[in-house]
Amino acid sequence: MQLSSPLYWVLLIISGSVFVIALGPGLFGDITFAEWFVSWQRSLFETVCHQQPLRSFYMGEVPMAVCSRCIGIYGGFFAGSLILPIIPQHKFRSRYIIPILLSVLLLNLIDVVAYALSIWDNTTYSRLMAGMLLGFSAVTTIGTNNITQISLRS
Amino acid sequence: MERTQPNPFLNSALIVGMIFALITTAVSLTIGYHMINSEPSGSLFSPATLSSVLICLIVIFAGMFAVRHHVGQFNEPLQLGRGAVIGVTTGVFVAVFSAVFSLIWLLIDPAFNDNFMNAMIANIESISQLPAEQKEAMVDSIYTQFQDQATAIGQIKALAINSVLFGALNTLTGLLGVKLFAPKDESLEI
Repeated sequence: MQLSSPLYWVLLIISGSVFVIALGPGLFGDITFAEWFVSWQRSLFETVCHQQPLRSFYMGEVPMAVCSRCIGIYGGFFAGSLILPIIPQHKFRSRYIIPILLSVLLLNLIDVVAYALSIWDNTTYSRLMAGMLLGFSAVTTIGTNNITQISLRS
Repeated sequence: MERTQPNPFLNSALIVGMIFALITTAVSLTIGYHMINSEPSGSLFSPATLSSVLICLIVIFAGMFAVRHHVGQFNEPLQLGRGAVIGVTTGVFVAVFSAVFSLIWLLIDPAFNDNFMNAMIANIESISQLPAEQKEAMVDSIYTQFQDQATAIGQIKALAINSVLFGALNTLTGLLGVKLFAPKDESLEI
């Protein structure tokens, strides 16, 4: 994906906007927990994220609008969008980006399920890293040319 | 000559949007009734939060599956931008149909929203990890939110918010869908 492509700028604006909104109302000043709870940023993401304060990073005195894994996904996606035009196209990238994306998705699913079943514990930073890997892999997949696709048909 | 893509995508967006809206409504109703009919968990990780996680996982892939459906119908190379349009349209359809299905369910069980709100409030009040001030703020917010949703303006506002968010997220997965499923045509790479 090139800088001259309008679609690149659409991608950058959407991912950047989602990331900034996901950082939450604490980004724009000191607010109370009650103000955070009724903020439009938190309301926007409430159908797609559990937004548990104990599993989120804080911006000032209040949690971000999404949990640590989600901010990782949006942040990784936005960071990937920023550097997408300078990541070189390579046949290794074309061949392995989908298996990498699926592996990272699987890693996140295993992490969620294992935590829910009390098999292991995770931290805000480990969830952030796992989310960032997923966001970055997803945007890299979008910007990769001549991808070797995985056939769903036998 | 400029290449055009006349294949209509609205069918795919409509079908997949409706299916995903049905699934998300079914998931949220199932978890809602489970929460209504069980004791407060006393934990921040309530069935309602599980519902959010599941709905997130389902909703964000609607755009990708709409592209998959479109490719299955026409089996032709697809421009990335076309994937984005399919994604955003599907996201909006998911939001619209979810709102419609929820309203239809209110005709079947008019007490659902009130019971669900009471269950959520009871759960928050039983959480021991939170300070009283935070609990009070959360309860007030939930009450206000449910009161808002009972009005036409509140419904339209919720629909607009969900359309924007689902549209934006599905734009991105629609792009991903093109890369994962569409037949390749090097002249369409950008």
